[in-house]
Amino acid sequence: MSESVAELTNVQVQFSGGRVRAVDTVSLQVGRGEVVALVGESGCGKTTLIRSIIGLEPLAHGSISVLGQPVRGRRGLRALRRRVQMIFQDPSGALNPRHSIYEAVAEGLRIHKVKGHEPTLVAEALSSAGLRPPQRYLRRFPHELSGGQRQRVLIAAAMALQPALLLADEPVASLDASIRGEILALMRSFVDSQGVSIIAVTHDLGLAWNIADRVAVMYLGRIVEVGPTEEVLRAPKHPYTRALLSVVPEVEGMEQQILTGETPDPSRVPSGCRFHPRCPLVASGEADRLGFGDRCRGVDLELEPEVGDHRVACHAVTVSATT
Amino acid sequence: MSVLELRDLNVTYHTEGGDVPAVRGVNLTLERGDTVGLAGESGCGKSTIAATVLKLLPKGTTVTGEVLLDGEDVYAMKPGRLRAVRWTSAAIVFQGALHSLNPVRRVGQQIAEAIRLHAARGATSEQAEKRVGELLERVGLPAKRGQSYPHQLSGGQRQRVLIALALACEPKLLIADEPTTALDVMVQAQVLALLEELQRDHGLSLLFITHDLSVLTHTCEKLAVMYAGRIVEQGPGKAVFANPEHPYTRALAASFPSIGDPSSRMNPKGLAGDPPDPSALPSGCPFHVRCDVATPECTTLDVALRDASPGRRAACVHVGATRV
Repeated sequence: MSESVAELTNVQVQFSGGRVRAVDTVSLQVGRGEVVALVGESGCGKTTLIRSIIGLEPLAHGSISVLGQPVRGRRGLRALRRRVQMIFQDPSGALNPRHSIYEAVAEGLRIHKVKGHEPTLVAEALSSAGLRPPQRYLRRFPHELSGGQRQRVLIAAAMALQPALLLADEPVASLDASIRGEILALMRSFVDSQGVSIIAVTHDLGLAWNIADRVAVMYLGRIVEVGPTEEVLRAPKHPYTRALLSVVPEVEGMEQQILTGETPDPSRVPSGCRFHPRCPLVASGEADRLGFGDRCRGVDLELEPEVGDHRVACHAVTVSATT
Repeated sequence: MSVLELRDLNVTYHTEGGDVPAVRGVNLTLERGDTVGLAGESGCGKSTIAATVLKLLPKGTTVTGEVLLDGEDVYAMKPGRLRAVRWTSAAIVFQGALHSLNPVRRVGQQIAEAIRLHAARGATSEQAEKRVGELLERVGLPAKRGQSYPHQLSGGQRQRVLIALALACEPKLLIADEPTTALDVMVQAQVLALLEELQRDHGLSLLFITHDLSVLTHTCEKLAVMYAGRIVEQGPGKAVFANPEHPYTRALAASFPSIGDPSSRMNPKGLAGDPPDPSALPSGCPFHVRCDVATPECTTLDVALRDASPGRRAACVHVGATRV
């Protein structure tokens, strides 16, 4: 995993002429064959961040490189598009209803001029995505398939191009729980067999536990906690991560911490730590008792400098580490 | 008397592609103050049951059996009586909060309209307006939100408005059809907490329909799991999830990863195959094609719900008396 497939450095994406900072200074590295889950609520910037990796969102600051090549300019993008593929939440919307399954997979092969016998490549792609025998699916149309099968078609189409990086935006959110596990297992199998790296955007912490090597938790455009999945989900340090975990129905033995208020608005980022208006430590007065409440309200902070794999952006953690 | 009782309910849609039996012989009872969860995959018939209770099915759909609301058969009611029962006896909260609200009217007006049309003793517009404010506050929104149009509200706020709307005429029964599916985790937790509070403080009976078994075990005392139009397992919520009797429930429960559990780490579990097509069900037990413990008899024998253990029922040859 020493070799990095994607490298994001101080990435900022702005909307409305800079009034909205959807992604606000994010750095992230993804190694070869690594699965990173990017979790957070709607509006936290997680989708914007992965869109910026394929050049769909211009960067206001910072840089992104994939396989050592900067994601910049038309030539840079064209070279990358085959190596970086994306799958979306709603497989019905991502497939052309009037194209057969064969066409859906073959189109990418043609655009990227992939060498080989096209029908064989398509059949192999479908088969490796669990659509077997492939002949049964080639002439069918998206509406004839179930939601799970449609997501398999999209994964087949993406993986047929042998990407180095797969960006998955809520890949199982629209699927039945029973189908969800099968699709996640399929994604993980491509990591093990082809060494593809995956960045999966999700609000589902169970997905992270199921397939991700590392978890990055985003809040209002920033990563507030990042680390190996087992550490972040078993011993979360940031109060926001703890709250997110506590409301997952499958997590037993954790007292529910339901944050009040709506998902925050990136056009009005609070001063100080951007999480402080919803932070249980601040609301309960514990932050003040321990003497760092003023910093929570007044001092903005980023992820603590590299001290290990598990990093967090929280005054409470910084204070307890230095005393 | 039970708030809701379904007796041998069968619902068949008639489509161009032929007859689709969506619900096949469902018996279900909700007592006052009960919270019952109905779980299952897409197409298992759970939402059809929601629509059946208030007679909201498409024209021409065949319904047999009985739907008793407070002991009164919904399908024997005259139209006027049916209109009176809707909203005042039972109300439904649907999934797509954006589609259930009129986009060009203020949400307060929409709630007031329901009160004026359905409230038992009628209401003046001042009374209705005051009531709208109370309802919005009860679901955790400021009363002035009534002035907003649906697009000005967030997804969670719209879902709260729909719950306020459903409560407008103090129904005894609230049917919630995937009320949290489109919502973020934190907002989902907020809405679930609200439903629990309403149920506890107002003695509301709740029929909670979703594909998310883990949400149901959290919220519901009783649980019914549906497969191919039938209830295949029934029992106390936590027990059904923790210790399923039916192989289908077992697979469904296993597909929810428990975070921190080493056995599901890097090991997502699901259920192979797709939910059955209701218009072409497999022979015998409809689950046998996806079942990992199916025996030859399962291809021909379709067993009814039977006692599995105290307080538990399941529809599988492997449970109950014949269990080895």
